Amino acid sequence: MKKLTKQAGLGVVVGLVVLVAGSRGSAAEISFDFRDPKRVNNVTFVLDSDLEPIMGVASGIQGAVQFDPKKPQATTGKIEIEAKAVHVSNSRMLSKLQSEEWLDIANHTTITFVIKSVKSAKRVKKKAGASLLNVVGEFTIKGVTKEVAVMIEATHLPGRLGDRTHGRQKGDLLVLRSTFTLKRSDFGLGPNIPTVADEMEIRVAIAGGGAPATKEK
Amino acid sequence: MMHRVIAECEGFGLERNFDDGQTLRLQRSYEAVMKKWSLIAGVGVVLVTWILWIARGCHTGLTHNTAYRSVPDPITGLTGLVPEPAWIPGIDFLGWGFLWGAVIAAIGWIGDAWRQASGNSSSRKK
Repeated sequence: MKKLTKQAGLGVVVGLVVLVAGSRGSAAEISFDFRDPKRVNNVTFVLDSDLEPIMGVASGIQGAVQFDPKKPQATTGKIEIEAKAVHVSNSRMLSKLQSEEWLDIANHTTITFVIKSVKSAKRVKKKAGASLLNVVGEFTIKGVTKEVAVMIEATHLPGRLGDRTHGRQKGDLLVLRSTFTLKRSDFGLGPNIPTVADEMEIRVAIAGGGAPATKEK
Repeated sequence: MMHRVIAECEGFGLERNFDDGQTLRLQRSYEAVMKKWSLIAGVGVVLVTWILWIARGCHTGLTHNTAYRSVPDPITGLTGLVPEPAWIPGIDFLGWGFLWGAVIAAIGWIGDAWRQASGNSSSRKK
């Protein structure tokens, strides 16, 4: 009888462990916050012109991405850039960029990218924790929203948030890298002049931190 | 005859000694001084522009007012770009410098031509 009770108790314990492990597995989605006090996150754009390539840098990035390391294809999220934080190295060009003709920062304060769905996701073999996501998203610039398909390399760095915050926060890091092209004419950016190319290359290199919800409890 | 000598003297300088022991001192005309100094100033502006452009890296694009400082993050492998005030003169600076140099250098000649024109018109009136 005693043996039977012991076995039943062991069974309950094993069952509980399996249940807890199972619940952790299903709730492994982490919300990564992309606010960046270290000012490392950046989105750059390169636009070819007759004189020289125009390069701009956008800081002031924020937003959140929900990422499950076990199910990267379930990734969703939204990244926002402050329109006034888009910067070019020539002051006259900067005022032109911020004007109504280009970004119109007075009326359109943010540039957003919303991850709508992930068509496919595959692991990058030579890079630990990295996945290549074929993302369908919505890009909004100057109030114009266009659906775009972009390839994003998402690298999950488990337990590395503490290294970045000197132990103040515990959790994981998610690094997103992507390079894609957009047509400025699609968003009504600037006049249609042959001296400045229509296609602009966007390079995204951002990192966000987050802790799994189950760990926080 | 005297007119010819003055013209020659102007070419050589402000003073000329003659064989008979006489010295002719000439004060250069206002126009000649203006021409000389406007030319010197114009060439100076062009040279300073050119030297500054070379010293700051011979940038063939537009003048930059900002440079980006790289901030590497060893944990994520990302490199942040932080804008910082900097001055990198480009070909627009070079062009404006050369244009201003030419304008300054031409001031003497323009003034002279204007003076001559106004002198001719006033003499015609008389």
